[in-house]
Amino acid sequence: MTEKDKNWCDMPAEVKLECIRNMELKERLSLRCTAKAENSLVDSQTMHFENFEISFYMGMPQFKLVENTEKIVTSRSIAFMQYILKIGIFENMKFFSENMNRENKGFVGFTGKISAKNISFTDSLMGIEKKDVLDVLERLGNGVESIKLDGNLGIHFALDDILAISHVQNARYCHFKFIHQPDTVWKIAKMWTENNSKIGSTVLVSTSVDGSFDEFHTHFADFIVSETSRRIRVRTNNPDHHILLERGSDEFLDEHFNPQFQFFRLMVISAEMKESEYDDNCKEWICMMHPDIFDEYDFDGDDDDDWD
Amino acid sequence: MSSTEQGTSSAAPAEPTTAPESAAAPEVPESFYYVHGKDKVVHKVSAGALQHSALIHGMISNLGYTEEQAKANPFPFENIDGDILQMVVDWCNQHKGKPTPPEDTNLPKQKEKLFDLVLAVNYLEIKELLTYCCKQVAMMVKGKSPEEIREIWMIPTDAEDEAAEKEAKKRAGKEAAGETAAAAGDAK
Repeated sequence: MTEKDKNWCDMPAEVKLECIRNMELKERLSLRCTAKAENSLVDSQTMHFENFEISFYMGMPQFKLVENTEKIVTSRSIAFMQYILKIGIFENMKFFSENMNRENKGFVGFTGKISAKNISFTDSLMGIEKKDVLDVLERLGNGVESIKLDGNLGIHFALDDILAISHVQNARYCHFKFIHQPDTVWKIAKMWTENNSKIGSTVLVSTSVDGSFDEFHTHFADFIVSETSRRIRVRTNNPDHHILLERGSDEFLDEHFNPQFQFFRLMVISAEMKESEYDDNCKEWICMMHPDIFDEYDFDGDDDDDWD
Repeated sequence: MSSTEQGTSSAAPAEPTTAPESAAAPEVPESFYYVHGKDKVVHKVSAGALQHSALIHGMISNLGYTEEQAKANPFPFENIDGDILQMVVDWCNQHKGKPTPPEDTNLPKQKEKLFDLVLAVNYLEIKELLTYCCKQVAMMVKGKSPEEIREIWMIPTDAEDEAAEKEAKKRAGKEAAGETAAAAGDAK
């Protein structure tokens, strides 16, 4: 365009940014090391990542980024982790939690907002610490779709604090695995009622403590629309919304698990929904929370659930 | 590409004897505009092809040229090399009225040409082509280290930048002092 050959430095900032948006992480990191101006430009851009996984070993965090099942980054550098959390927009974030904040410095010292769609806290020997979960959930930005607590949520797990977080209240899907508090199910329903949650909101719960169904029944006694031994449907403050509690049960589960070990699905449904529209396939939703539980089970068999 | 696009139909379509509901509307003869770059070579481009350029499209809308006026007044783009404008016109013609594919493999691989094209496309506001170009620019440094990127794109180090800035300031200061002295001399 002029006598002098044009180069990167002649590009307007908006063009440079469009080029940066087309770069992978490695190239962005390289470019930001070339000069201060490039550093600022690169850091002003967010980047989408498919999977961010963080685990803690002896209190030391390690994270990895996985794209299309291929590991693209593994690092123990806290500064790098903080950088990735700052620029990243994550499809899935997995926390292999084992007392993340041993030194009480907050979540890997990161104080900004985390942008992630699906969050899961996964099992560890120690179980999930409430503080770990709260630290992360409170840092989430908007757009959270699902929250999975896949750990051993002990008897002291303070559910009330978790349910008070807006992301939990607004998530389309949550599950609480091995939560040993029989008040979980009705508390979730109460939270939905108070927040007029959207139709389709779903929470799965598994527990080995008896009483969830009965407690739900007791707390919503005045709102019951219909009930069977496996389902309770209740009204909410919104005349268009009902809440349906289902207990998952089939021959396999009855045979292999202690009767106290129970699975529940709680959903906000339309008040117009007919009973004939209920989904009787409990295996499918139980597997969302416990993917391996039916491993020895013949899914193709014709042993449908014996629903009431 | 055809810098002088041919084959426009000037013949009016035959009038149908009846007008069935499904019949297509009679084709309106396409209008053409003219552009030239630094080399003054005039390119005839259809209005349809020029739709890709928000800048030219805006100019056409504002000017309301007739075909004759358009021919007599080609849009001048003195800041764009002739061969680069040719590439742009080619691309616009090839993608006239078509959805743009996810990738374009016909972009120049040569760095200087690519950057010239990027600047031209950015100036002419051709969004889709700019996207392709930026992808291509990003590909130039795939897998490269900071040092390699600096070399490929001739990015000065911070120290070089600072030195150049100092030098520019010094030069500007000298020029200003020279002007002041000259003005004082004139006053005397």
